[in-house]
Amino acid sequence: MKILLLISSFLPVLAFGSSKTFDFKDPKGVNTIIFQLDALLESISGSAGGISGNISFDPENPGLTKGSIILDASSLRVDNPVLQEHMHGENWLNVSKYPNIEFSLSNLREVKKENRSITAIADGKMTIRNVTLKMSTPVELTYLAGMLEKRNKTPGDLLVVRSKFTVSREEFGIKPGEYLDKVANDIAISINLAGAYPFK
Amino acid sequence: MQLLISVIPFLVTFAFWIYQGARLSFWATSIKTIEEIAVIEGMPELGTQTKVTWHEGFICGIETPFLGIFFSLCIFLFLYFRKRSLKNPIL
Repeated sequence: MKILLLISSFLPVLAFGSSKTFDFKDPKGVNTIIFQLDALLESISGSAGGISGNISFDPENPGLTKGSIILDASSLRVDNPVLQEHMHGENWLNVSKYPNIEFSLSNLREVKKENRSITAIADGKMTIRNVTLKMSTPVELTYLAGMLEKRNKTPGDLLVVRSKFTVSREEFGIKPGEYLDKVANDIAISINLAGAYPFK
Repeated sequence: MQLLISVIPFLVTFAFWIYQGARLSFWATSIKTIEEIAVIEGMPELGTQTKVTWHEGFICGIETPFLGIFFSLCIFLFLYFRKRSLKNPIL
């Protein structure tokens, strides 16, 4: 019985290697997503800070990285209050009905390691307004072993995820084909997030 | 003279709009500041993160010159009808 218990306690390690789960809810409040829409008549830019989610990362085998980054849609902010109200409203993002925007990462491919930095293509699924689409986007990961203490005063590791990609609002059913002169179809997104793995 | 006076609001608002960057979008009441900060304080060689902070502020948008046109038109009409009524007291 003891042997069985011992084997079962090692099973997760055998299955997932030495993967660490990084929490992306930043107590410092720095984690931000920046977005930009450049239409013919109007340029809209803003940011969102309501980020959470976990990513499981194995420094020895980064290709197996998986997890999800969740954005609280109501944290999306622009410089004009009326525009923000419309963006959150029923006709656009409908944040009361669809409170989260989620990127679910299934794996990394074309992984290239250089010192602390890892570049790869992230395969996953993006969910906006309950519409889920497959997406592949270039990412850069920086693994900072033992550096969490210097950032958050807690012993642990840090994982920084950077990416720039574009989503089409038409594909996610956000007013497809409408107001294209003022609200661009392509939404350029830039993410730069730090995740924490505190030592227990 | 009447035309010159009435065109002042438009010229002032137009100049202010140009001065503030001639934004085609609407009035902004929040201004965002973007700064690159080190992921770990004092160690920028380990990478940086973009920090966005919002603060209250006003940048005029396309409404400003349109408001100028509206006020210019109002002043022009006021002066025009005032002049007419002075010429013809019955009206």
